Amino acid sequence: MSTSFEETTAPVTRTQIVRFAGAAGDFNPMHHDEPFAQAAGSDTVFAMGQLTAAILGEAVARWLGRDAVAGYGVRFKDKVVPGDVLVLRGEETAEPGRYSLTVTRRSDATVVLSGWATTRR
Amino acid sequence: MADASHVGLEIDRFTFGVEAGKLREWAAAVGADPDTADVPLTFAAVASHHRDQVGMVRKLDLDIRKVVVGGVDWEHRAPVAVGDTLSGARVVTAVDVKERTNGTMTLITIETELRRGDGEVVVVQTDTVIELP
Repeated sequence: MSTSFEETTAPVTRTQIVRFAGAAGDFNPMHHDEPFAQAAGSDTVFAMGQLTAAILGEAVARWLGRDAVAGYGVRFKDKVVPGDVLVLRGEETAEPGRYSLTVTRRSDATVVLSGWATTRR
Repeated sequence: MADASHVGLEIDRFTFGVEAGKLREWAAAVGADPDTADVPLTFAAVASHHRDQVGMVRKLDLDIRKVVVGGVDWEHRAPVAVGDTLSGARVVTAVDVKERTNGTMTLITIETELRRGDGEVVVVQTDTVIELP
């Protein structure tokens, strides 16, 4: 296992958001119903934070090993919308077995999610 | 508006199976190998299918238009596999009220301990829900 990782995702799509709604059970219309989201003042639908958390979680599980992960946490910083390309990053911290994580929108380098993970000692 | 009187409140209680079909849907949504037998780190989120969000908003006296999720943490205590049945309850563990110049901001911590059929806690999910001013 390396001490850091970086991956770039394919652009987020509406179909992906709908797939995740079905998988995870989040049917808040802000995430799939464009007229509803626009009536609520949003430019477009936006991905559920749990989708970004799941995409990063998948990459972290591959990086650290699924069964090695003891803890994983995320803080949502900005909305992710269809078309966004996400850059997933993780690196080991000074504390052994603790890792810091970020998800950044590639187009404007905005951090949309920050997180952490720990592995079993 | 939620306040300290809500600490200890059980929002809802639910049971769900860790199903292979759900895992395939999940993998397709996040770009993972659809044949993986690994249960995702955040799979406890599928409990959303079994939770009562309308009831939560009512029980905590929240204004749904002002509610955002600030973050989520998962503590993995024991292995979980396809075929397991998980059950748990959402419980309010903290309510932190902050006065801002534009009004009151409330941070609500909700903890869900998910247990396998044999009673062992496999994952603890902690949600931080924010009601904006």
